Amino acid sequence: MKTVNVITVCGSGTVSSTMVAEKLKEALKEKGYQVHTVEIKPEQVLSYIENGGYDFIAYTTPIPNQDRIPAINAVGFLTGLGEEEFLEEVEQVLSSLNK
Amino acid sequence: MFGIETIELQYDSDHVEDVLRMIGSTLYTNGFVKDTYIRAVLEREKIHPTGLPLSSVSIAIPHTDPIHVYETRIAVATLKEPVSFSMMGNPEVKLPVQIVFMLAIKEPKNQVHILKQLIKMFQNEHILKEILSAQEKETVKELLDSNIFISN
Repeated sequence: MKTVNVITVCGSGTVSSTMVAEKLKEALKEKGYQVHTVEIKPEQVLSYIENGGYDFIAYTTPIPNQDRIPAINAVGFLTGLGEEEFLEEVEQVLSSLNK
Repeated sequence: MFGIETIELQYDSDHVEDVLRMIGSTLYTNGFVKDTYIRAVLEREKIHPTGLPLSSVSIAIPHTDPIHVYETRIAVATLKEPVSFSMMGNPEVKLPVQIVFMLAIKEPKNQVHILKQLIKMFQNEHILKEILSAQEKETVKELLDSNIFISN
């Protein structure tokens, strides 16, 4: 099973980011990935990227600009209305990383 | 998790702050949150709004850091007329919110199953419509209790 490391971001670094993380784990498990997540606040994003090791960011609140790793808006994933679009973006990111 | 003392039906208001204060006060007066909770929710909602556009209805899930919470509880309010909330992740978009789930979550890590069930319930148009049209608090409590389980 391939491993994916994801940063999930929301305003408090707790509730919405946990919801996104758990939903992502389930969705990607079906596609054969094991997902590891950290749930953080926007102001923690840059230091987590600096530490390295993460494949992409899924966020539900605006995050600082950076061009080190891909960042995907996860609000549609949370509501279910933009779920397919979100997962397509995730798959594009993963294939660009050869995962 | 749910109780009629933290459920309010057909609340008549035209402002988000008033709605948040009203629901927050049900959590405070019943001892679920600290006296800092309401202010923290109001501040957070301005910076990180929580409106979510679902398929048939817009909802909001205001909350704040666990440090302001004594005991996990989800307070619910249906609104007589939609109230304008900003959208999560996209604050410039305004949503006509009709149901508010105010989350007082003590330990997000241990309460992942509650959050997962909540998200799952949000995909269920039928349940949300029933909550919205409910005339009795007990009906809403029963609907929620049968969809959100606390497992150990």
